[in-house]
Amino acid sequence: MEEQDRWIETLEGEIKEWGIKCINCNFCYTACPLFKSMEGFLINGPSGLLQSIYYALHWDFLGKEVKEEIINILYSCTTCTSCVIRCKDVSAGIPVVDLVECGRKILVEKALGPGTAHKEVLGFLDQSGNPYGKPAEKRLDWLKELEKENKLTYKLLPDDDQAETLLYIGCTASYEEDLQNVARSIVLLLEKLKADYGILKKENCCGSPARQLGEEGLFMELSEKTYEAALKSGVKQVVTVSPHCYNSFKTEYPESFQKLEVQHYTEYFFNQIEKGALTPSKKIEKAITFHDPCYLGKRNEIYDAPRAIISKIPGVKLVEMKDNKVDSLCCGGGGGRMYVEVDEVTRLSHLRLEQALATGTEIIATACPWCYTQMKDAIKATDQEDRIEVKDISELLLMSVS
Amino acid sequence: MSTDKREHEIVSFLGGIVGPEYVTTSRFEKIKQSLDAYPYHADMNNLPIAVVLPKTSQDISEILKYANKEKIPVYVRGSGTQLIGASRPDRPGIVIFTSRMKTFDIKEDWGYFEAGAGIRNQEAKDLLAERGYFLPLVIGAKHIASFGGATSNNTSAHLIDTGIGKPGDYILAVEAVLPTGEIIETGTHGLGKPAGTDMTKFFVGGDGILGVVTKTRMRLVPMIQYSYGIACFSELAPIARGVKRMYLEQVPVPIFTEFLDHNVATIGYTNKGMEAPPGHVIFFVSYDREKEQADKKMNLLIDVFKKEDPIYADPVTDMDQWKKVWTARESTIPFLMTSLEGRLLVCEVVGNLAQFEEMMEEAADFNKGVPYLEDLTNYLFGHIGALSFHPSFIIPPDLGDERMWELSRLLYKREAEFNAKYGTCGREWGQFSKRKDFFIMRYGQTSYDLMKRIKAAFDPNNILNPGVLEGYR
Repeated sequence: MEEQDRWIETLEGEIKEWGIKCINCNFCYTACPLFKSMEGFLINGPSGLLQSIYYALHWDFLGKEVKEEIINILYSCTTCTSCVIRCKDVSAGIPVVDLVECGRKILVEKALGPGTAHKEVLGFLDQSGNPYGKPAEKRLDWLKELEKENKLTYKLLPDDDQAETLLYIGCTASYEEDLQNVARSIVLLLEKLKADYGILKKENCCGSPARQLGEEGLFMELSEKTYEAALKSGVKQVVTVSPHCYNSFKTEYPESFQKLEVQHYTEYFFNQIEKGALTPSKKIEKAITFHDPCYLGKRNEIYDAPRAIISKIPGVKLVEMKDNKVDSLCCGGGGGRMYVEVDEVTRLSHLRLEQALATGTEIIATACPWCYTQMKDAIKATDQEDRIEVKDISELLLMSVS
Repeated sequence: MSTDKREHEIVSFLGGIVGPEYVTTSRFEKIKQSLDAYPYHADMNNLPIAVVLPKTSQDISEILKYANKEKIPVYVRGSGTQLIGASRPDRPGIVIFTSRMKTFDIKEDWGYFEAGAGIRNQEAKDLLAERGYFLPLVIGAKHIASFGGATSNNTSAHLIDTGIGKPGDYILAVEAVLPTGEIIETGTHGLGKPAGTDMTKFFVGGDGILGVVTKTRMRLVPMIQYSYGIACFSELAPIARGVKRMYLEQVPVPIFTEFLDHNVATIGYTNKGMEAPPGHVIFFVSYDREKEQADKKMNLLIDVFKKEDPIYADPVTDMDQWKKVWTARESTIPFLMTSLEGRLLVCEVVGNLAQFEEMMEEAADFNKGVPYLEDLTNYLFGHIGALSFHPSFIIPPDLGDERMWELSRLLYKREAEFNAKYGTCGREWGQFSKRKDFFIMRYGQTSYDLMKRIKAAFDPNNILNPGVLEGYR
C-alpha cells in the first residue's frame, strides 16, 4: 500500500471511529452559528456534517453522485469550534471540526474537492505564497510606504540581522488595503516600545488556509518555509497579527517551534501595558463592543487580553454583546469561507452586526483581519456606516498612546 | 410510475406549498433525519423521500391532505431527541421538520404564552426568564428539544412530577393538525383547564400519533428561587428509605432529587476535577417563590435524610461547588461515554413508593441474568425523587449494528418486565415504539387494540408517524 493510501485510510478511520460515537443527540446544533443563521436543514449543522461524511464513507458513495453535495456540506463549516466546546460540555466529546478537516483532506487526496473557488485559492497559495494571488515581491510594500514617513528600526529576517521578536504579519494584513493599517499600527506600537523586532524578508502564508481547505501537502510546504525562516532568524518570540496564524503556530507547527514564545499581538501589548512599558493615555470617549475572533477565543481561550487593552484606554466604555467570549457568534469568515461568496441567509456577519448594534456602541473592536473584513462588509452591505464602525484593537491602542 | 417520477411529483407539490428552498431530497439530509439518539445506523433502503420545512399550520395541513390522498407516510420531527425511536422514520415518506415554526408570544394580560412547535426549550426558557417567568419543563436535551416534541411527549424529564407537575398540568390548549389535514384548537383561553372532556389530552402526551401539535398555550408561572443540598451514603437502602421518608413525612417535594451511584459519581466528579465522593450521592434542589422559603424546605429535606445515617447531608451555599457537582450530574452520559470510550445503552425504570427499597436494589442488579449485559457494569443514575432510575451500559464501539439491536431488544424487554412488575411506566420518553411490548404486558392486548382503534379514528390511512404504535424500530 502506498503512503497516500495509508494516509487516506487513517483519515477515514478517524471519521468512522468518531462517526459511530456521535449519538445524534443534536445538542451541537444550537451552538452552531451556521445552523443558527439558517434554522433549516440538519446538514447545515455539526452532527449533520459529521454524519454526511461518515455515511459517504460507510456506504461507499463518496465521489459518485454526491460529489458536489458533499463538497458543499463540508466546506460550509466555519470551523469556529462552538460545536466542539458544546459536545465536550454536554455530550460525547466529538472533535467535529477536526473531522470536518479530515473529510476535506480526503476529498483533496482523492482529487474530488474542493470547489472551484477554493481550488483557485490553493493555486494562489502555491504560486504566490498568499491566498489572494498577489505578487510575493509586493508583500512588504505597506512597510516601505510607512518607512517614508517614520523612522523604523525593524530588521529584515533572517538575512540582515537577528532580532528578539519576529512580527509575523500574515497575508491579509500584508495585502488588503484596510488591514494594512493594522500592520502599520502594530509596527508603530513596537517602535514606541523600542522593541528589538524583525519581519521576515520573504514572508509567505503560514499555511493555515491550505490546511483548512484540506491541502495538507501545501500546508507542510508553506509551514516549513516559515518554520525554517523563523528558526534561522534566532528570534525568541513570535508575535502574530492574525489569530489564524497564531493558532497554526501554536497547534499545527512542529513541537520544536513551540520553543519560541508565540503570542498574539493582544497578549503581547497587554503584557507591555501591565509592565508599564506602554501607557494608553489619550481619551477615546466612545462605547466599544468587542467581537471575539473564534481562533483567538474559542480555539485558544484568549478572552481577557483584548478586553483588558480596551478597558485600559481612558474614556472607553466596554459593552458586551449578547453572545460573547465562549458563546461568541462567529463572523463567518473562517474555514475557508472568506474566499467564497456566501448566500445572504448564511452571512453570519450580519447576525453579529445586529448583536453589535443592539449594544448601542459606536465601535466594533476586533483583533482578527478576517473578522475585521467580515464586519466591515456587513456594515457596508446593510448601510450602517452612520451608526457603527470597525476598529482593530491595535488601531485603538495606537490612537491612545500616540 | 417510476420512483424518480414519483419523488419528483412529491417534491414539486411540497415546494409549491412551502417554497422549493424548504424542500430537499439531499441524501445526507435524509440520512440525518432518519437517525435518532441511539447508536444505530440509518437504513439505506428506507430513507425518507423528502424533508420539508413548513412555516405554518396551514402548510402542514396541506401536506397532510396531500399525503392522505397519495397514501404517503409522514414523520414529524422537532429535534429527534426522543430516546425510544419514535422520531425515527422507518419507511420511505415525507419528513416534516418543524424548525421554522418559531412563533413565541407571551400574553401577560391573558396569563399565558403560546409557543410554536419549533421553539427550542432553552429559547422559551430564556424568553420567559427575561419577563420574570419560569418554564416548568426541564428536558435533558434542553438546548435543542422542540416545544412541539415536548408537548407531544408530555415529558417531565428530570423534574419531579410530584412536586412541579408535568407540562400537561400547565398546558391550557393546543393547536393541532389532524392526520387528515384539518386544523383544530382545543382547550381554553382562560386559566382554568376544562372539566370533563378536554381534547387537549389527545395531543399532550399523545406520542405524536393522533395529530401534529403546531402551537402550545401554556400558563405563565412566576419565577422561582432555589436552594441546594447534597447527601452521600455508603449503601443504597438508606437512600431509598430517605426518599420514602420524604413522601411519608410530608416534606415539601423538591424540584430535583438526582441520584448517582458511586461509579457514576466518581467518573463525574473526577471529570470536573473534584475528589471522588466516598459513596453514592444525591443532589437536591428545593424551590419556592422566596429564597428564604426554599432554604427552609431544603433544611427539612436534609433533616429527613440525616435520619438514615448518611456519610454527610448538607445544604450547599458555595455556588462554584454546586455548579461543578451539578455539571457532574448533567454530563453523566458524556462523561461515561468519553471516560469509558463506548456507546451508550440506557433505559428507564420506575418504582412505586411502597416497594421502593426493593425496587432500588433490583435496579442496581438490573442486568443480572440478562445475556451479555450481565457481563457489563450497570452505571446507575436517575431522578430518584421521582422514583426513577436509568440503568446504563457502555458498549464497545466496534460492536456491530445487529448486535446492538439485539442488546437494545434485551434491554427494553428487561425494562418492560421491570416496570410491569412494579406497576409503573416510563415517565420521560413516551410509551410506544420500542416500548410497545411493555404497553401490552402492562395494560393488556385489549388496551393496545383500543389504542389502534383510536389511531384509526384519527388517522384512517395510518399516514402520521406510522410505526410508532406498531412497535420496535
